[in-house]
Amino acid sequence: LKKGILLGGVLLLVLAGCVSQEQALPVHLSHLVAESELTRPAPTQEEQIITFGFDRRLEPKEDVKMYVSFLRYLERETGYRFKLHVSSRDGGVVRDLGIGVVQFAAIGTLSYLQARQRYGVRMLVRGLNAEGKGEYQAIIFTRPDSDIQSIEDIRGRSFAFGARTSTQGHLLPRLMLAEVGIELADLKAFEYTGSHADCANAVISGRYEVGGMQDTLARSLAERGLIRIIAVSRYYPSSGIAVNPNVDPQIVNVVKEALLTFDPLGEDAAGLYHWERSEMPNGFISANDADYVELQRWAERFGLLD
Amino acid sequence: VKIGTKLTLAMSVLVVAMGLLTVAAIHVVIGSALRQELQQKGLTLTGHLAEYLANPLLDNEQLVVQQALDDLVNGESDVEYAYVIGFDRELIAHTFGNGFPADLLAANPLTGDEQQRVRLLDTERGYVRDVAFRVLEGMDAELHVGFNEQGIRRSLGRTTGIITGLAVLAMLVGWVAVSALSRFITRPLVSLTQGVHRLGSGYLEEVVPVASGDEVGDLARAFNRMAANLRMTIEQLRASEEGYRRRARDLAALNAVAQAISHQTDLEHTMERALNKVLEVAEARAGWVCLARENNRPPLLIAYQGLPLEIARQGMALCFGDCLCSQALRNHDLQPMIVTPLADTCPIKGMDLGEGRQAVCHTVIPLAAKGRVLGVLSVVGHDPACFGDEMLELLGAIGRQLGVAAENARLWDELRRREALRGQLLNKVIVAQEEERRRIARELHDETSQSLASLVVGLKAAQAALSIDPARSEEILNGLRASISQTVKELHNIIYDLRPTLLDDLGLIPALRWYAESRLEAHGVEVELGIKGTARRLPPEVETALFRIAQEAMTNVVRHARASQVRLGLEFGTEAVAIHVWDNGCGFEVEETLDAEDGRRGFGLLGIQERATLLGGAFEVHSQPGKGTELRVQVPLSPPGGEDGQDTDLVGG
Repeated sequence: LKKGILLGGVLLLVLAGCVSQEQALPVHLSHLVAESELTRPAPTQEEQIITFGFDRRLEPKEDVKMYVSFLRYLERETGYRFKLHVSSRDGGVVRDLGIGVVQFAAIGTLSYLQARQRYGVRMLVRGLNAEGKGEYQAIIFTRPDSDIQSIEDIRGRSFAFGARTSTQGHLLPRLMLAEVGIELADLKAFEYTGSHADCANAVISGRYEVGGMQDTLARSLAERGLIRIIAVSRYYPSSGIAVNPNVDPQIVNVVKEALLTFDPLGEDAAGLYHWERSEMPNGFISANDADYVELQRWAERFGLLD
Repeated sequence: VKIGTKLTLAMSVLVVAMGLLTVAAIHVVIGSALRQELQQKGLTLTGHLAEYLANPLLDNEQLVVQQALDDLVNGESDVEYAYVIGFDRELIAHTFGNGFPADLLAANPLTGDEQQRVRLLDTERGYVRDVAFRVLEGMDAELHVGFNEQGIRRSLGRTTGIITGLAVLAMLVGWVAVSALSRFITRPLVSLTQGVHRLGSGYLEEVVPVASGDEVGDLARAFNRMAANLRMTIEQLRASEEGYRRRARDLAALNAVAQAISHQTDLEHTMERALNKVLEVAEARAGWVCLARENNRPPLLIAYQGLPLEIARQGMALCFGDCLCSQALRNHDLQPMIVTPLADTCPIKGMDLGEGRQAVCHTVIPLAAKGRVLGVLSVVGHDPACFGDEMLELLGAIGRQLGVAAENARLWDELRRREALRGQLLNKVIVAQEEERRRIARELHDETSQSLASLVVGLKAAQAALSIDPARSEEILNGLRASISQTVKELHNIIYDLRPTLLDDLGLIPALRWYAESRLEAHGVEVELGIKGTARRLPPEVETALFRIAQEAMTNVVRHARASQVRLGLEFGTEAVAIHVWDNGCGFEVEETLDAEDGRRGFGLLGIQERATLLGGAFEVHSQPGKGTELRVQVPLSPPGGEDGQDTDLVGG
């Protein structure tokens, strides 16, 4: 009996020990203060953080996830700490990159042209396409059952662009239309839907008859029968990673080296989040300002650099 | 404390302990599970909400965010609060209305690359589990949702109540079950305990019923075996104790008898004390001791107890006429026996022994010594069974002791008688010596001295006549010479009377012949000497003793027998020599003469007997008034002991 009582006592102690393992922090939920009086926890002291911006293309959180995984690669390769900064739509990243809110940014060609024009931003690398070139295309598409067969049939029809600052979603489709003599005024209606996905949705849903978007997504949708491709542009310099002109050149060199050695299809694929959805799915090559002359001219013509 | 109470108490303690343990375990296990579930739910819910809020946050749609938080708090009962920290670590939205808890922001912040974190908060609204979730990996935006554990505590409280109720119910049911079980178990134990108590109280025949084949049944069987062994052991002990007690009683009786024998020189008192002790040991009331007497005289009732006086005085003699008592005495039967039934002539038959008992038997215990029965010890009994083998054996041992005592008493009497006779004999010897000395002195004075005086006178006359009348002198001298010869002869007779030289010079036969002729024939008694065997010289002390015996016998013949014929006989054997003297005189009563109070009348015979005894020989005398007397003494030729030799010398001297 004594042994049983002793054993029970030991078990109770053990159970009591199990119960009392978690310590509760006293907090007074009823003691409310004005938000201005709140004392926020001090951020951890970090040695040096490089902020990274991006030109919003996809769903915002998908963009964030994708670029966060990309920054993890850069951190591993460079030893620097990177932090993603979400800029506002409609050119926010151009401004942030120009004024130094972010030091590096993944931006499209048009955004680069605007940033270079306004802030002297420099493109470090361009994204490689499936053929290993630093170029991409834009595609004009319609619904599979549309009666539009060629680009010339677009005149008088409604057209969905991506973001106004988008190269593949705006500059290149508009360039293609201009080359066949179709201006915005020749269209029955047009809209900057915001992203390539929104553009596709606008056409597929029937709100617009024709749309212009990046080649990779358009081909993917076409393969699944959701859209039908009407016209494909020539190759133009693809999106890339640009740098604020005030960033330490040593950092720039380190980062550029890491970008050029980036192998998203090979050894660096692990840890990336849907990098294939980006405009730089195959890695990077070094960028050259001479590659942007034609597009510079078209952008100026369309008034996109103002 | 009884087993039932112990079992009930143990069951209660067990149920309470198990209930407490169960409650504690439920608190721990279920509480932990519920908390884990709540935490998992919080993580899932918060994660989904964070996923949902990612885009609105990225697009800075604060209303959407606020609406989502409000919907969460309103839709989930256990959500206490929710708030969002934006990408720039500013407070974007929360559900506290106006103001925000001052210490909540610092309560559970995410640090470094932490994606989620849960912290238990102790608030005035109870324990709240703050689940922090990073909205997007790599971004600073955090979503915090507080999950109140009141629901868990309510569930645990309800469960504890149910378990407590079940424990109480189990305790009641268990109490009833244990009570029934304890009664079932303890009933045989109670029976066994009662058996043990009864066994402890001395009821060795107690047998506990064995109703089951379980351990209690085994215990009962073991108890019965133990009780049986105990009974057997106690019986053995009792038997041993009875044996020891009987043996002690026997030894005490023997010791008492031995003490009685050793302390009492008076045989009658010894026998009385011994009889009393025997009666005490035999638990009898009556008994007696008889001693045999010589010459066919009836036994002597030396001690008795519990017998009527008339029986004691008269009846015993009658009894001994027919009873086994006399047969035992006559036949020297050494075996104790019981006389039953008693003969009709037995005076004790039907004698009242008290307590309504009558005498129906008595023992015959021989008082034996040296193979002879000297007496009989009889104990009167009302039942022959009273005298078992052991009792007879004890009485036999006492009888042997008493026999020895009787023999010793007889020997002591004999020794005293002999000592008295020895003293009388010594006195006689001294008187005889004085008489002999007076006789010698008288003879020397009356005869030798007178002769020598006359010789002196004659010599003076011869001397005087020598010068005057030589012839007369010569005549006187011749007369003196004859007188001297007569004197020498007288001296010779005196010397011979003292001790015949023939005995030393020629031996016993010539000395006896000379003495008989000189003493008996001088009184006109015809003497005949016969010799058997090869005559030879014997040791001097034997020859002297036999000569003195014959001399005493012939003196008695001359003094008392008035006999005309005497026959002397000597028988020479290889190991003994015997002498017998027969006369045809007047004879006498041997017993009376020997047992005479003063002993004077038998001094001669006693002297003869004494001399024979000193030489280790045997003495017999047969005589009756008017029928002459025959005396025979036989002496062994083996060397007698030193003392005998001394006595021989003493007597001879």
